[in-house]
Amino acid sequence: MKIIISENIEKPNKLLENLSLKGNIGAVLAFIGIVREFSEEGDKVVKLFYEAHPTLAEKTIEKIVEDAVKKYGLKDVIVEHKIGEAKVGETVFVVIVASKHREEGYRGLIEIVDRIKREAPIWKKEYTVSKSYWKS
Amino acid sequence: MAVKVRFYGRFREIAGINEIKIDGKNLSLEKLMEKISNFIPQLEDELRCGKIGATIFIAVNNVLVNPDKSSPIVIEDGSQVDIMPPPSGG
Repeated sequence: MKIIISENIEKPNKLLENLSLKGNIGAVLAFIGIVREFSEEGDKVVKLFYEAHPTLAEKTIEKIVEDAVKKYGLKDVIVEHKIGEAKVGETVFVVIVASKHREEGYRGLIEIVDRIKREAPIWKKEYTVSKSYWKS
Repeated sequence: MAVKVRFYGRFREIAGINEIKIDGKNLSLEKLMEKISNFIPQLEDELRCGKIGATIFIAVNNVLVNPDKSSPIVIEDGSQVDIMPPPSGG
């Protein structure tokens, strides 16, 4: 298990090299979150800014991953989340899971991504050409 | 000693500061919110009307306050309290 919250996150293909593929692994699944060019309202996005609680963000993600490993029998999990500024097209959030079969991998991946978005104390501010606002 | 209160995200911007120190011993959460509002009136509505665990998240010494917990929360001198908006990462 590896959790990275940093201004400088690694590229997903680099993360894959760190994944433990030892043991009875039959599937590797990844979610890669990227900064969209347009906001939900259709405004052109200039950049995003991410802020995280210095200790609670990692602690919360750790618990979420531990829960998913236990529930779905995941073999390995890597999570990384960008903080600071991110440009359009930049990777900001990656979750990679290794599992015995694809089914538990799919389920575990969705649960980890959804719970991190809902529970981890990380906040996003969107800057468009016309305004800036904290997302909720 | 005092209680160190830190603000995050939207709340930090509304407050216009990262943190403040509040004097007081064995404060209830309500009393602490009242004292913060006195120092930072622009946060009063958020603190007074906020629903813990829904529109406002609070951690005391790096432990999230559970809104369902029946026992009252007492904030001791020297504690660190984090006032956070709901998560919006990813």
